[in-house]
Parts: sequence; structure tokens; C-alpha cells
Amino acid sequence: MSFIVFLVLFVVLCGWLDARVARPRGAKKEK
Amino acid sequence: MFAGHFGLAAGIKAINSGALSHPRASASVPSASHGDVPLWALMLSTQLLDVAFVFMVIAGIESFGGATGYGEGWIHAYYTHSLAGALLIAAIAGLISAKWWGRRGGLVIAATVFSHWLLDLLVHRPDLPVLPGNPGNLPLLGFGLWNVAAASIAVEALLVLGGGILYVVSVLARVDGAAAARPVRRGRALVAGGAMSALLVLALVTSVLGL
Repeated sequence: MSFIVFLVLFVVLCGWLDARVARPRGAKKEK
Repeated sequence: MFAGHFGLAAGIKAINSGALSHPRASASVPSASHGDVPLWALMLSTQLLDVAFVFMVIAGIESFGGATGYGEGWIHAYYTHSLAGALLIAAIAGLISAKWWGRRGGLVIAATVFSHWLLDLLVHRPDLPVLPGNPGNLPLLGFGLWNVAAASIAVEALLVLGGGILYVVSVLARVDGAAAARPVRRGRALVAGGAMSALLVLALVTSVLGL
């Protein structure tokens, strides 16, 4: 159970936070 | 060992982003053409064999059991955790990923997926077959570091700390490199690095306590 919880946290939360670091405020995502 | 797998993925992200060696070169938005794979994909890749394992358990094809303490459980994963099965899953993931993140990105994903099997080989007691389904009852693989829990925890802690430190240094380097050209906020890097570090440590503690 903890595996699934951590998988979601690492993929969704950390993935989102990491993408924000790379993208300046207001910038559009690269296509 | 799931915390160790995540730690390794964090380290791969730090190295693959190029921020550690060329902070200014990686300062702009990561370019897919340069194989800079997003963190979410690496985190999913490092656990892809276990994700497949969960579906196989639901399907009744593979199973797990035993005590819930650190390294005390067993798995019967003759397909997803066989050497050939892991290579096949890694190859498929790499080929699919190459369409989005280029050849280099595909190779990074494939290597990250297969790293799961290599780390499992180190800690598992012999329960990893060479071929899917283990035809011919070939010897099962696994160096059994879980039998020496302190050593296994030390290895896992090394992966968690190493990956966490590399990741924090890399996100800060990305921001520092971008400061002159883009209004990237350093706070975002600190939040991302802090969340990663906290989750890695929490995952390790959870794993060690067998929660």
C-alpha cells in the first residue's frame, strides 16, 4: 500500500514541482 | 527497497539534466530533443517492474507474502521480475519513450527500468528467474543482501541520500544558470528539492519500519 502512495507522490507531486523549476512563471509548455 | 529505487531515479534525473556539469546549458526549458527526460517518467520507470507486478498480482498470475518487516517478505514474480522479462519491459518502455524524448531519452528510460532488476538482484534472496515462467527450473537469482538487514539498509540509505543530494544540487544549479536570462524563482527549486528529500527519507523510514 505504501508503495502505491509513494509512487503517486513521487510521480505526480515531485514531477510537477520539478517541471515548475524548469518553466518560468507564465511560460508555456514546450511542444 | 522501493526507497532506493526512487533515490536512484532522483540521481539519474540530476545527472541527465546536465545541470551538474553545465548549469547554464540546462538553464532553459528542458529540451526533449536532447533527451532530458522529465522526472515523473524516471520515477515511474524505476518502479515499472513493480507496477507490472501489481497488475500481475491482481490477475492472479504472480503473488507475494511473508512477514511485513524490512526485507522479510517474498515475491513470486516469475514474469515481471525474470531477467528476460525485465529486459523486455525495459526495451518496450525505451522504444515508446524514444518517440517523445529522442533516442537518448529512450535509452535513459530503458536503463532506469532495468536498474530496478539489478537492485533487486542485489537484495533479493534467490527468487528471480532468468526466463519468464522459469522453464526447466533454472537456478533462481538473488544475492540475498536482505539477509543482512543492516547492510541492505545502508545501501538503500546511500541511494536515498546520494540521489536526494544530487537532485537538490541540480535543481539549484538549474535556477542559478537561468537567473540571468529568465525570471525563474529560486524558491521553486528549494520547494522541489525539499519535497524530494523529505519524501525520499520518509520512504526509507517507511520501508525500514516495514509499514
